[in-house]
Order: sequence, then structure tokens, then C-alpha cells
Amino acid sequence: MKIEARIRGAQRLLSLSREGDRYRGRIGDLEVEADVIEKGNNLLLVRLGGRSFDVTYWQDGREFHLDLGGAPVAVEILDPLRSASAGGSDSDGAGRREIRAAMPGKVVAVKVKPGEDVRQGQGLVVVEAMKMENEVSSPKSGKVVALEVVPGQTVEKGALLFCVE
Amino acid sequence: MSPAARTPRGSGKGPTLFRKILIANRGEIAVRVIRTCRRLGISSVAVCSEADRNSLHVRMADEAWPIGPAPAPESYLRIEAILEAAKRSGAEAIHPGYGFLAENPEFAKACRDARLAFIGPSAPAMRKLGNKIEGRRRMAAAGVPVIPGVEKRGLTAGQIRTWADRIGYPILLKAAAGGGGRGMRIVRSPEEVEGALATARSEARSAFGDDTVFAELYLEGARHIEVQILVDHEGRGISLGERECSIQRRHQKLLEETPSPVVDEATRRRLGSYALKACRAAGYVNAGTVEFVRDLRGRFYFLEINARLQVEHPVTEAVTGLDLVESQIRIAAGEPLPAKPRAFRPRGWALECRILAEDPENGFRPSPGRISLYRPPTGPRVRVDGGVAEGDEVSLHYDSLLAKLITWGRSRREAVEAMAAALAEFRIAGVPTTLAFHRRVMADPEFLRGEIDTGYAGRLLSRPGPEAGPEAETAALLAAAHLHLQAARRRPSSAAGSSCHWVQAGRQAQAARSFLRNPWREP
Repeated sequence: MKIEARIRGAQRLLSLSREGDRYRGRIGDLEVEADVIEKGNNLLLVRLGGRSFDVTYWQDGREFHLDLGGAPVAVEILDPLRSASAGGSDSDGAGRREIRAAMPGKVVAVKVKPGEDVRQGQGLVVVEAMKMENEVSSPKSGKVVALEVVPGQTVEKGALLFCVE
Repeated sequence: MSPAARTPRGSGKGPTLFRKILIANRGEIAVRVIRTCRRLGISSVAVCSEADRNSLHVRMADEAWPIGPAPAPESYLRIEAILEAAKRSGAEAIHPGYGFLAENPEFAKACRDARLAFIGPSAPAMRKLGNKIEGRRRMAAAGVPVIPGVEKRGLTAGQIRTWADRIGYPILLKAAAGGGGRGMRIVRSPEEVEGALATARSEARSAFGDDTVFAELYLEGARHIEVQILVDHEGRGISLGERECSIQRRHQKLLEETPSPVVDEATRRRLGSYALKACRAAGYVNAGTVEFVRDLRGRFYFLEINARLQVEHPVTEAVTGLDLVESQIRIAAGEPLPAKPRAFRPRGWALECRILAEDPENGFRPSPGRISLYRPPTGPRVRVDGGVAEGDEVSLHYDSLLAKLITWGRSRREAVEAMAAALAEFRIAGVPTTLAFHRRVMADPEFLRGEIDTGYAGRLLSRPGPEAGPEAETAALLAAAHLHLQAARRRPSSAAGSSCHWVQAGRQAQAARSFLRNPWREP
């Protein structure tokens, strides 16, 4: 199998075959042979040559954030089928921008009405999570063409807050 | 009722400690207080919101009482619900922890009115000192330098602009009732005043129920240094030295240490005497912290008094050998401090790293989620004060503190080495955390030289991060590839996964119903 991944801005091609826990193959030009063992609860044991790594992770979409006990490593899996629709989804066509919640939280204030003209950088919606208020501002000057939230509403990460055109 | 008149327990002489203490808090600090209660043979009573009914503090306490729905204003901030739990459980005293109602004079007064000992300062002392504006005035009157500021009642954006035009930007807006960095905003230009004032007010209102805001000059490159004090009912006080708390984000501390690399013995004595003088003048009793900022020229200014136990109290415990929660309980029970406390000298060095469910790579964005794995470090010189266990949910309703990692050494270097080793061992999965940030700090030459100020964290993160090394990167790529392949295998039948909102909502509703039906008291 072939998997394309991005690590620290560089693209890498992994050609691997798998037999139980054992992976064999190449990462770029590098010959690899390693065991990847699932220990449960988002913990993997990776045995590579003489070294063992306890790898914990959390996931953000297609990006894996891995902790091997030192510096954090982010690996994004590039899926050729999906890469066309992923990314750049916050704008569509004629300068319309969708603004989505960067984190789950509660909408505590909505400072505009649909149809209102706004400036770039103007705070439009305030979302509170874990005792912190985040003012979400307009990425561009224009008109608010959709307003999807009301004060008091709980939003999930990625939920549409408003559109500016 | 005076604390000394409380029904005696056992046959000890002098004032006796309480038989049962209710902890009006949650998370790490509730767990911390429960541990001391247990050691002292005092029964502990937890309170909890619906979101916390399975939380660690509930599991550790001898008993737990529900006090309302998840949002803090409907549970942890409801004085009457907490007093009701205290009454029904038969608690004799209330420990407020930090945050929530800890510095709310109405709460301290309500406890007293309900004949419960409040483990903290009295309501009048809190009113005099807990409010930042009052605290500033008192310190200025006592001859302690304060940061230039403007603090009128009903302060308007226009008044702030007029004042700031004279004194210069940046300025800092602060909630008078504030703490923990909430209701605080740096303002760098006149145009930002209006918006920042509104946000600070609204944050202050939701966090403290009081939207009074004042402004002061923002000192760039300053250090944040605070002094821990204890004062007993006889007015006898002791200063336990300083804590250096300059490494912050959003005006909230990330890493603390004691002693401070820039405080010598003479300065320590001077800061201690300032702190005690001001507290005594206000009739302050119990543990408290007096915060100072030190500007680039080495001048100290009074910042505020925190009328509570601080998050970072364990570093002081590490260099004094005291259990400050025990000290608080003993003082509240009427015990005096030693008649002639020896001059305090810190023994060795201690550090504390706050392990938060936040993503340092994304502006320390709070990240609620499920802790799928929690593996704290251990070994000599290591202490972990945690508030979560593996499998727990980090709720978006409360702060992001998961655990505090504390290390001790005979020197700063030894404490740092112990911290670096412990951070490498500490593993948390499921949510982003500040672990990697702290590992980076422990290896940073500026930090190792003790060159830190309140802008340090931002500067560190603006530089490219350390690399993981080629072997670790290979391991990471393989791990990610494996996870991707496993997910691809599972994808077709993943409809019942936890990401489905309807399933989640259904589970929550069911859990809420069983919660109402089934408080822990019932067998």
C-alpha cells in the first residue's frame, strides 16, 4: 500500500506491506522495518531497530498529533481522493467567506444582524469555552449574508457561525 | 460561634480540627483538599454539577452531593445549593478552593451566617483586599508602590482613552473582582478600548458576577512575583517567601517556581514585610498571596492580593515542608501559628508546570475531549496534583487544568532536570496538552538562565520549535500510517461512533435522567 503524508511541511511517500504488527517497506528512500502495536486508549508502541517509542496521539481531522516523549510531531495523511474537497472550504466563489467555530463552546454574544455591513476585523460573534471568551471577527469587509447562531446556543467545533460576502 | 468553641473531636488538647469539611470546588483543587482531609482524619464532602458526577473529586470524597446543572452559575457558583449540601451532610467547615466562590465575600458571610467555618479570610477582609481596586488603594495608603491606573466607578471607554492619552499605551483592563486572568485585556491603541472594555466586562460578569473594570499601565517585559503569607486569628503572620510566576499566557500562569532567580534575601524580607503589613491592616486571617510585578529596572509594584489558596501553592510546600491546606484548616479551627516562627529560608528549589487541555500550537486554544490515556510520571523529587483520571471527559464548562507537575531539587538546575525527566515520562492522550510546551521550556537557554518575563511564552512560541529527530519522525510516520489504515478499515461501519451527535445527545439525556434519579447517597 502507498500512503502520502506531510510532516514538518515536507511530503513523504510511504510504501509499506503489513504482516500482523510488522510493517516493512520504504519511507522515501529509507528502508524501514518496524512493529506498530496497539496498546489501547490512544497509545501505540512503535519498535524501530533497537528503539521503542511509546506514542500517544490526538487527532484533528486528517492530522495526527503525536507525542513520543519529546518534541511534538504532526503528521497529515494526504488522501488523493479527498484532497480536492479538503481545505479552502471557508470561501466559495465570489468572495463569500464562511466563518466556523474554532472550538466547541457557547455563543455568548452576537453583535450583528443579517444584512449588516461589517469591516474586516470587526468582532461579530463571541464564543465562550472553558472560561475564555473568544471574539470571532470578520475576515473581510462586506455584508453579513447568513447568521447561523443565537446567544446561548452551544456550538460544536467547525459549526458555521456566519457568512460574509 | 468562635471556631475554638466547636464540638471537640477525640481528646486532643487545645482547639480541635473539624470532623467534616465540604469542598466547594471541583477538579484538581478539590482532590488536593480531600487528600489533606483524609490524612488529618477529617471526612470530606464533595459537591458536583451534573457534568461532574463521575469526576475524580467525587470518587475520592467520602460523600458527594449534586448541586445543579453543568454551567457554573447553576452549580458551583450557587451559594444556597452549596450551603444546603453542607447542612444536609453535616459539614462543619467549607473549603472554597480557588476560583468559583473562593473570593466571594457574600459566600464567606453566608457560611458564617449558617454557622459554618469558612476556611479562608473573613468577608470584611475579603471586601477590603479581594477587590483589586480596594487592594490598590490600601497598599498605596500603606506606602507600597502601585502601578499607575484609573479606577473610577462606572468607568467609560472615553474616560479610559483620556487617561491613556496622557500616560501612554499599552494599558491593561482588569476586572475589579477578577482572578485567573479572566476579564483582563491588553489594549494597544485608542480604537481597541471600546471593544476590549465590553469583552472584559462581559467576561467579568459571567466569571465573577461583577462587571466593574479598571485600567492600569501595562508594564512590558515585567516579571510577576508573588509572596505567600499565613496569618492566624491572633494577627500573627509569617511570610513563606516568593514564587516567580512570569511564564503566562492570557495572563494565566503556566509555570511557577520558588525561589525567584531575581529575588535576594533583602528583597525577600522587604516584600514579605509589605505583604504582612497590608494584610494585618485589613484584619486578614488565613493563607493569602500578595502579587507584585517587577519592572525592567528591578522596581516592585503591588498588583493585587489573592484571598485564597493559589494554584501554585505546591512549590512553596516543596521548599518549606508545609502542607498549606493543613495550615489553612488549622488556622480556620483557631490554632495559632508558632509563637516565634524562625526566619524563613527556602530549602532548595521547586518548579510547577501546569498541564492544561490546551493546544499551545494554536494560541493555547482550550480543547475539551476525553482523556483516553493518563499516565503521570513518578520517581524521586516528583509530585503530581491531578484532577482527572483516564477515561474522564474534560468539559467545556470549566477551566482546562488537568494536573500540576511539581519537582524539587537542591538547586534550580536539579529541579529543572527532574522536571525535564518527569515531562518526558508524562503521557496524556485524547486531547492536546501543554506537555510538549513545558518540555521545550526546560531545554530553552533563556529559561535556563532565568531570563523570563510575562512575554516569555509568546516569544518562545514565535520561534521554530525543536525537531523530534530522524528516528522519532520515522516512528511518528509509521504510527500515523497505521492509524490511517485502521481507520480506513473501520470506516464503512462507523455510524455508531462517538462523533454522532444524535447518539451523544441521547446518551447525555439518558445520563442526566439517571443522575436525577440516583444521587450517590442511595445505595
